[in-house]
Amino acid sequence: MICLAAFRQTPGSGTDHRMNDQPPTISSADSDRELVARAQQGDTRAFDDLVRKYTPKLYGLVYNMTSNREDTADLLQDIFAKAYRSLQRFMGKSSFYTWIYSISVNMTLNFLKKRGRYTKVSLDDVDTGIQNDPSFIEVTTAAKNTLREVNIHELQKRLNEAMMKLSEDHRTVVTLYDVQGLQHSEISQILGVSEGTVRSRLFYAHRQLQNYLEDFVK
Amino acid sequence: MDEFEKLQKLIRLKKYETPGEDFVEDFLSKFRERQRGEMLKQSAWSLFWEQLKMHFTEAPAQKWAFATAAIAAVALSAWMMAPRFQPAAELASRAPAAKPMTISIATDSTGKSLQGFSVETIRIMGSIDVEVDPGLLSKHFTGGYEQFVIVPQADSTSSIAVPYEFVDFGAKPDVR
Repeated sequence: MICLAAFRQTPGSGTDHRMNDQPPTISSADSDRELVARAQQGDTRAFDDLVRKYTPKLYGLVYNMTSNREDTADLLQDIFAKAYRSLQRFMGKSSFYTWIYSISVNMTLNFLKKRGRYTKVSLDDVDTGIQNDPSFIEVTTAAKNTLREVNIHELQKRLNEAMMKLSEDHRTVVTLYDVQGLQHSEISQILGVSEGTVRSRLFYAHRQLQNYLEDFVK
Repeated sequence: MDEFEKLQKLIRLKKYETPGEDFVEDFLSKFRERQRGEMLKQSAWSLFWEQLKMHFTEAPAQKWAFATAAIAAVALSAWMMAPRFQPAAELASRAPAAKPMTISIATDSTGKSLQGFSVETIRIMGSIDVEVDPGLLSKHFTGGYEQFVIVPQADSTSSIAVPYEFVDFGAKPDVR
Protein backbone atom coordinates (compact mmCIF):
# COMPACT_ATOMS: atom_id res chain seq x y z
CA MET A 1 0.00 0.00 0.00
CA ILE A 2 2.80 2.33 0.88
CA CYS A 3 4.43 1.52 -2.41
CA LEU A 4 1.31 2.26 -4.41
CA ALA A 5 0.87 5.57 -2.69
CA ALA A 6 4.43 6.43 -3.47
CA PHE A 7 4.04 5.43 -7.11
CA ARG A 8 1.13 7.83 -7.45
CA GLN A 9 3.51 10.56 -6.44
CA THR A 10 5.39 10.32 -9.71
CA PRO A 11 2.91 11.24 -12.42
CA GLY A 12 4.39 12.02 -15.80
CA SER A 13 7.82 11.70 -14.41
CA GLY A 14 10.65 11.14 -16.80
CA THR A 15 9.19 13.54 -19.35
CA ASP A 16 9.70 17.02 -18.06
CA HIS A 17 13.34 17.45 -17.33
CA ARG A 18 15.18 16.35 -20.40
CA MET A 19 17.95 18.57 -21.58
CA ASN A 20 20.72 17.53 -23.91
CA ASP A 21 20.52 13.92 -22.75
CA GLN A 22 17.04 13.30 -24.02
CA PRO A 23 15.99 9.76 -24.86
CA PRO A 24 15.61 9.21 -28.59
CA THR A 25 12.57 10.01 -30.65
CA ILE A 26 11.38 7.82 -33.55
CA SER A 27 13.40 9.80 -36.07
CA SER A 28 16.41 9.56 -33.79
CA ALA A 29 15.95 5.79 -33.65
CA ASP A 30 15.75 5.70 -37.45
CA SER A 31 18.93 7.66 -37.80
CA ASP A 32 20.57 5.33 -35.28
CA ARG A 33 19.50 2.34 -37.37
CA GLU A 34 21.04 3.87 -40.44
CA LEU A 35 24.26 4.74 -38.62
CA VAL A 36 24.45 1.25 -37.15
CA ALA A 37 23.94 -0.35 -40.58
CA ARG A 38 26.72 1.79 -42.04
CA ALA A 39 29.01 1.08 -39.08
CA GLN A 40 28.36 -2.64 -39.46
CA GLN A 41 29.56 -2.35 -43.05
CA GLY A 42 32.82 -0.86 -41.80
CA ASP A 43 32.05 2.86 -41.99
CA THR A 44 33.97 4.14 -38.97
CA ARG A 45 32.60 7.68 -39.45
CA ALA A 46 29.10 6.35 -38.86
CA PHE A 47 30.28 4.84 -35.58
CA ASP A 48 31.96 8.15 -34.74
CA ASP A 49 28.58 9.82 -35.12
CA LEU A 50 27.05 7.32 -32.71
CA VAL A 51 29.85 7.95 -30.23
CA ARG A 52 29.35 11.69 -30.60
CA LYS A 53 25.63 11.34 -30.05
CA TYR A 54 25.71 8.99 -27.07
CA THR A 55 28.79 10.21 -25.20
CA PRO A 56 26.95 12.95 -23.24
CA LYS A 57 24.11 10.60 -22.27
CA LEU A 58 26.34 7.72 -21.28
CA TYR A 59 28.78 10.02 -19.56
CA GLY A 60 25.95 11.22 -17.32
CA LEU A 61 24.95 7.66 -16.56
CA VAL A 62 28.44 6.39 -15.72
CA TYR A 63 29.51 9.55 -13.92
CA ASN A 64 26.50 9.56 -11.61
CA MET A 65 27.07 5.92 -10.80
CA THR A 66 30.81 6.22 -10.13
CA SER A 67 31.20 9.82 -8.89
CA ASN A 68 34.61 9.86 -10.49
CA ARG A 69 35.21 11.64 -13.76
CA GLU A 70 38.50 9.88 -14.60
CA ASP A 71 36.93 6.48 -14.07
CA THR A 72 33.98 7.63 -16.15
CA ALA A 73 36.15 8.64 -19.10
CA ASP A 74 38.08 5.34 -18.98
CA LEU A 75 34.97 3.27 -18.60
CA LEU A 76 33.29 5.07 -21.45
CA GLN A 77 36.22 4.21 -23.72
CA ASP A 78 35.81 0.56 -22.78
CA ILE A 79 32.06 0.76 -23.33
CA PHE A 80 32.35 2.15 -26.85
CA ALA A 81 35.19 -0.22 -27.68
CA LYS A 82 33.06 -3.16 -26.60
CA ALA A 83 30.07 -1.81 -28.51
CA TYR A 84 32.21 -1.49 -31.63
CA ARG A 85 33.53 -5.03 -31.31
CA SER A 86 30.02 -6.37 -30.70
CA LEU A 87 28.32 -4.31 -33.36
CA GLN A 88 28.24 -7.15 -35.89
CA ARG A 89 26.21 -9.18 -33.41
CA PHE A 90 23.70 -6.37 -32.86
CA MET A 91 20.63 -7.63 -34.70
CA GLY A 92 18.40 -4.62 -34.15
CA LYS A 93 15.87 -6.49 -32.00
CA SER A 94 16.05 -3.63 -29.52
CA SER A 95 16.96 -0.04 -30.31
CA PHE A 96 20.63 0.88 -30.39
CA TYR A 97 19.83 3.26 -27.55
CA THR A 98 18.62 0.44 -25.27
CA TRP A 99 21.46 -1.82 -26.38
CA ILE A 100 24.27 0.66 -25.65
CA TYR A 101 22.65 1.64 -22.36
CA SER A 102 22.52 -2.01 -21.31
CA ILE A 103 26.20 -2.45 -22.13
CA SER A 104 27.00 0.70 -20.17
CA VAL A 105 24.99 -0.28 -17.10
CA ASN A 106 26.44 -3.81 -17.02
CA MET A 107 30.01 -2.65 -17.47
CA THR A 108 29.61 0.08 -14.86
CA LEU A 109 28.11 -2.33 -12.33
CA ASN A 110 30.98 -4.75 -12.97
CA PHE A 111 33.44 -1.92 -12.50
CA LEU A 112 31.80 -0.90 -9.22
CA LYS A 113 31.95 -4.47 -7.96
CA LYS A 114 35.66 -4.61 -8.73
CA ARG A 115 36.28 -1.21 -7.18
CA GLY A 116 34.58 -2.31 -4.00
CA ARG A 117 34.15 0.12 -1.18
CA TYR A 118 37.10 2.25 -2.11
CA THR A 119 35.70 5.35 -3.77
CA LYS A 120 37.80 8.29 -4.76
CA VAL A 121 35.35 11.07 -5.53
CA SER A 122 36.35 13.28 -8.42
CA LEU A 123 33.54 15.57 -9.48
CA ASP A 124 32.95 17.60 -12.58
CA ASP A 125 32.43 21.32 -12.45
CA VAL A 126 28.86 22.41 -12.11
CA ASP A 127 27.61 24.27 -15.15
CA THR A 128 26.86 27.87 -14.27
CA GLY A 129 23.46 27.42 -15.90
CA ILE A 130 22.31 25.82 -12.67
CA GLN A 131 21.89 29.25 -11.10
CA ASN A 132 19.12 30.08 -13.55
CA ASP A 133 17.33 26.79 -13.18
CA PRO A 134 13.93 27.33 -11.52
CA SER A 135 14.39 24.09 -9.60
CA PHE A 136 17.65 25.32 -8.12
CA ILE A 137 16.09 28.63 -7.18
CA GLU A 138 13.09 26.89 -5.64
CA VAL A 139 15.15 24.37 -3.74
CA THR A 140 17.65 26.89 -2.46
CA THR A 141 15.00 29.42 -1.54
CA ALA A 142 13.01 26.82 0.33
CA ALA A 143 16.12 25.56 2.05
CA LYS A 144 17.15 28.92 3.28
CA ASN A 145 15.10 28.47 6.40
CA THR A 146 17.31 25.64 7.51
CA LEU A 147 20.53 26.31 5.58
CA ARG A 148 21.41 29.97 5.76
CA GLU A 149 23.13 29.95 2.42
CA VAL A 150 23.21 27.17 -0.12
CA ASN A 151 26.52 27.02 -1.85
CA ILE A 152 26.45 25.25 -5.24
CA HIS A 153 29.50 23.18 -4.42
CA GLU A 154 28.14 22.23 -1.05
CA LEU A 155 24.91 21.17 -2.71
CA GLN A 156 26.87 19.14 -5.29
CA LYS A 157 28.87 17.47 -2.55
CA ARG A 158 25.77 16.61 -0.55
CA LEU A 159 23.94 15.22 -3.59
CA ASN A 160 26.90 13.04 -4.49
CA GLU A 161 27.28 11.78 -0.96
CA ALA A 162 23.61 10.90 -0.88
CA MET A 163 23.84 9.09 -4.21
CA MET A 164 26.89 7.14 -3.13
CA LYS A 165 25.07 5.95 -0.03
CA LEU A 166 22.52 4.18 -2.21
CA SER A 167 23.09 0.61 -3.29
CA GLU A 168 24.34 0.23 -6.85
CA ASP A 169 20.96 -1.02 -8.09
CA HIS A 170 19.15 1.88 -6.47
CA ARG A 171 21.68 4.39 -7.73
CA THR A 172 21.24 3.03 -11.25
CA VAL A 173 17.47 3.57 -11.31
CA VAL A 174 17.74 7.01 -9.73
CA THR A 175 20.32 8.02 -12.32
CA LEU A 176 18.29 6.67 -15.22
CA TYR A 177 14.96 7.99 -14.00
CA ASP A 178 15.63 11.18 -12.08
CA VAL A 179 18.83 12.49 -13.63
CA GLN A 180 18.48 11.19 -17.18
CA GLY A 181 14.71 11.25 -17.47
CA LEU A 182 14.08 7.78 -18.86
CA GLN A 183 10.67 6.14 -18.59
CA HIS A 184 10.02 3.15 -16.35
CA SER A 185 9.52 0.95 -19.42
CA GLU A 186 12.85 2.04 -20.91
CA ILE A 187 14.67 1.39 -17.66
CA SER A 188 13.00 -1.98 -17.44
CA GLN A 189 14.31 -2.91 -20.90
CA ILE A 190 17.80 -1.66 -20.16
CA LEU A 191 18.12 -3.47 -16.85
CA GLY A 192 16.22 -6.55 -17.98
CA VAL A 193 13.88 -6.40 -14.98
CA SER A 194 10.13 -5.82 -14.73
CA GLU A 195 8.66 -2.35 -14.51
CA GLY A 196 7.42 -3.27 -11.05
CA THR A 197 10.98 -3.90 -9.94
CA VAL A 198 12.05 -0.55 -11.37
CA ARG A 199 9.25 1.23 -9.49
CA SER A 200 10.01 -0.60 -6.29
CA ARG A 201 13.73 0.24 -6.47
CA LEU A 202 12.87 3.85 -7.15
CA PHE A 203 10.53 4.01 -4.20
CA TYR A 204 13.12 2.72 -1.75
CA ALA A 205 15.87 4.85 -3.26
CA HIS A 206 13.76 7.98 -2.97
CA ARG A 207 12.90 7.21 0.61
CA GLN A 208 16.58 6.88 1.46
CA LEU A 209 17.46 10.05 -0.40
CA GLN A 210 14.75 11.93 1.47
CA ASN A 211 16.45 10.97 4.71
CA TYR A 212 19.92 11.88 3.51
CA LEU A 213 18.82 15.23 2.08
CA GLU A 214 16.32 16.06 4.76
CA ASP A 215 17.51 19.63 5.32
CA PHE A 216 17.01 20.43 1.63
CA VAL A 217 13.64 18.85 1.06
CA LYS A 218 11.78 19.77 4.22
CA MET B 1 5.68 21.61 -3.34
CA ASP B 2 5.81 18.35 -1.41
CA GLU B 3 8.94 16.66 -0.20
CA PHE B 4 9.02 14.13 -3.00
CA GLU B 5 8.76 16.78 -5.68
CA LYS B 6 11.51 18.78 -4.02
CA LEU B 7 13.69 15.73 -3.88
CA GLN B 8 13.22 15.02 -7.57
CA LYS B 9 14.03 18.59 -8.50
CA LEU B 10 17.10 18.43 -6.31
CA ILE B 11 18.38 15.23 -7.88
CA ARG B 12 17.74 16.53 -11.37
CA LEU B 13 20.22 19.32 -10.66
CA LYS B 14 22.93 16.70 -11.04
CA LYS B 15 22.57 17.07 -14.78
CA TYR B 16 24.51 20.34 -14.45
CA GLU B 17 27.62 18.40 -13.53
CA THR B 18 29.26 18.18 -16.93
CA PRO B 19 32.77 17.38 -18.14
CA GLY B 20 32.99 20.54 -20.27
CA GLU B 21 32.31 21.49 -23.86
CA ASP B 22 35.44 19.97 -25.39
CA PHE B 23 35.02 16.65 -23.72
CA VAL B 24 33.08 14.91 -26.50
CA GLU B 25 35.52 15.77 -29.29
CA ASP B 26 38.56 14.98 -27.13
CA PHE B 27 36.96 11.74 -26.10
CA LEU B 28 36.19 10.88 -29.70
CA SER B 29 39.74 11.51 -30.87
CA LYS B 30 41.08 9.31 -28.06
CA PHE B 31 38.56 6.65 -29.00
CA ARG B 32 39.62 6.81 -32.65
CA GLU B 33 43.25 6.31 -31.65
CA ARG B 34 42.33 3.32 -29.56
CA GLN B 35 40.07 1.94 -32.26
CA ARG B 36 42.81 2.25 -34.88
CA GLY B 37 45.27 0.56 -32.58
CA GLU B 38 42.91 -2.34 -32.06
CA MET B 39 42.16 -2.55 -35.75
CA LEU B 40 45.86 -2.62 -36.59
CA LYS B 41 46.43 -5.34 -34.05
CA GLN B 42 43.55 -7.30 -35.49
CA SER B 43 44.57 -6.74 -39.07
CA ALA B 44 48.10 -8.01 -38.44
CA TRP B 45 46.62 -11.33 -37.35
CA SER B 46 43.85 -11.37 -39.92
CA LEU B 47 46.38 -10.52 -42.63
CA PHE B 48 48.53 -13.44 -41.58
CA TRP B 49 45.60 -15.84 -41.60
CA GLU B 50 44.27 -14.41 -44.81
CA GLN B 51 47.61 -14.87 -46.51
CA LEU B 52 47.93 -18.37 -45.13
CA LYS B 53 44.44 -19.25 -46.35
CA MET B 54 45.10 -17.70 -49.74
CA HIS B 55 48.33 -19.63 -50.00
CA PHE B 56 46.57 -22.92 -49.53
CA THR B 57 43.50 -22.16 -51.58
CA GLU B 58 45.59 -21.50 -54.70
CA ALA B 59 46.71 -24.86 -56.11
CA PRO B 60 46.05 -26.51 -52.76
CA ALA B 61 47.28 -30.01 -53.61
CA GLN B 62 50.79 -28.91 -54.56
CA LYS B 63 51.08 -26.55 -51.63
CA TRP B 64 49.82 -29.04 -49.10
CA ALA B 65 52.29 -31.55 -50.51
CA PHE B 66 55.06 -28.99 -50.21
CA ALA B 67 54.03 -28.07 -46.66
CA THR B 68 53.89 -31.74 -45.67
CA ALA B 69 57.31 -32.35 -47.20
CA ALA B 70 58.72 -29.29 -45.41
CA ILE B 71 57.32 -30.45 -42.06
CA ALA B 72 58.65 -33.95 -42.65
CA ALA B 73 62.09 -32.56 -43.51
CA VAL B 74 62.16 -30.47 -40.34
CA ALA B 75 61.06 -33.45 -38.24
CA LEU B 76 63.68 -35.68 -39.85
CA SER B 77 66.41 -33.11 -39.25
CA ALA B 78 65.39 -32.82 -35.62
CA TRP B 79 65.50 -36.59 -35.28
CA MET B 80 68.92 -36.79 -36.91
CA MET B 81 70.32 -34.05 -34.68
CA ALA B 82 69.02 -35.52 -31.45
CA PRO B 83 71.35 -37.77 -29.43
CA ARG B 84 70.09 -41.22 -30.08
CA PHE B 85 71.43 -43.24 -27.22
CA GLN B 86 70.47 -43.03 -23.62
CA PRO B 87 74.05 -43.69 -22.41
CA ALA B 88 74.99 -40.25 -23.71
CA ALA B 89 73.52 -38.85 -20.51
CA GLU B 90 75.60 -41.28 -18.53
CA LEU B 91 78.67 -40.24 -20.46
CA ALA B 92 77.93 -36.63 -19.72
CA SER B 93 78.01 -37.40 -16.01
CA ARG B 94 81.49 -38.90 -16.34
CA ALA B 95 82.94 -35.90 -18.08
CA PRO B 96 84.07 -33.31 -18.75
CA ALA B 97 87.37 -33.61 -17.01
CA ALA B 98 89.34 -30.43 -16.57
CA LYS B 99 92.11 -31.97 -18.51
CA PRO B 100 91.17 -34.36 -21.28
CA MET B 101 92.05 -37.88 -20.37
CA THR B 102 94.64 -39.26 -22.67
CA ILE B 103 94.43 -42.89 -23.46
CA SER B 104 96.59 -45.00 -25.52
CA ILE B 105 94.74 -47.26 -27.78
CA ALA B 106 97.86 -47.96 -29.70
CA THR B 107 99.14 -50.47 -27.15
CA ASP B 108 98.21 -54.04 -26.53
CA SER B 109 97.53 -55.69 -23.16
CA THR B 110 101.25 -55.96 -22.37
CA GLY B 111 101.80 -52.30 -23.04
CA LYS B 112 103.52 -52.88 -26.32
CA SER B 113 102.75 -50.35 -28.98
CA LEU B 114 100.49 -51.46 -31.75
CA GLN B 115 101.58 -50.49 -35.11
CA GLY B 116 99.15 -48.65 -37.24
CA PHE B 117 97.49 -46.45 -34.61
CA SER B 118 98.48 -42.93 -33.84
CA VAL B 119 95.27 -41.96 -32.08
CA GLU B 120 95.73 -41.00 -28.47
CA THR B 121 92.50 -39.38 -27.47
CA ILE B 122 89.02 -39.98 -28.62
CA ARG B 123 86.61 -37.28 -27.79
CA ILE B 124 82.89 -37.87 -27.94
CA MET B 125 80.31 -35.12 -28.18
CA GLY B 126 83.05 -32.53 -28.05
CA SER B 127 84.01 -33.05 -24.42
CA ILE B 128 83.91 -36.64 -23.25
CA ASP B 129 87.01 -38.71 -23.46
CA VAL B 130 86.64 -42.44 -23.50
CA GLU B 131 88.62 -45.54 -23.91
CA VAL B 132 88.14 -47.36 -27.14
CA ASP B 133 88.71 -50.95 -27.91
CA PRO B 134 91.49 -50.80 -30.49
CA GLY B 135 90.24 -53.88 -32.16
CA LEU B 136 86.82 -52.51 -32.62
CA LEU B 137 88.21 -49.19 -33.68
CA SER B 138 90.34 -50.98 -36.13
CA LYS B 139 87.29 -52.81 -37.43
CA HIS B 140 85.51 -49.55 -37.72
CA PHE B 141 88.22 -48.02 -39.81
CA THR B 142 88.51 -51.04 -41.89
CA GLY B 143 84.86 -50.90 -42.60
CA GLY B 144 83.59 -53.29 -39.95
CA TYR B 145 81.27 -50.71 -38.51
CA GLU B 146 80.18 -48.18 -40.98
CA GLN B 147 78.47 -45.63 -38.82
CA PHE B 148 79.41 -46.26 -35.21
CA VAL B 149 82.37 -46.54 -32.94
CA ILE B 150 81.96 -49.15 -30.22
CA VAL B 151 82.81 -47.67 -26.82
CA PRO B 152 83.18 -49.92 -23.78
CA GLN B 153 81.43 -48.72 -20.64
CA ALA B 154 83.20 -47.90 -17.38
CA ASP B 155 82.18 -51.18 -15.79
CA SER B 156 83.74 -53.07 -18.77
CA THR B 157 80.69 -55.31 -19.00
CA SER B 158 78.93 -53.52 -21.80
CA SER B 159 79.59 -51.30 -24.76
CA ILE B 160 77.73 -48.57 -26.52
CA ALA B 161 77.68 -47.50 -30.13
CA VAL B 162 78.48 -43.83 -30.67
CA PRO B 163 77.72 -42.25 -34.03
CA TYR B 164 80.83 -41.59 -35.97
CA GLU B 165 80.07 -37.90 -36.44
CA PHE B 166 80.22 -37.36 -32.70
CA VAL B 167 83.71 -38.73 -32.35
CA ASP B 168 86.72 -36.47 -32.62
CA PHE B 169 89.84 -38.47 -33.16
CA GLY B 170 92.22 -35.56 -32.72
CA ALA B 171 94.36 -36.87 -35.54
CA LYS B 172 93.36 -39.13 -38.29
CA PRO B 173 94.47 -42.66 -37.39
CA ASP B 174 96.89 -44.31 -39.61
CA VAL B 175 95.40 -47.65 -40.25
CA ARG B 176 97.55 -50.05 -42.09
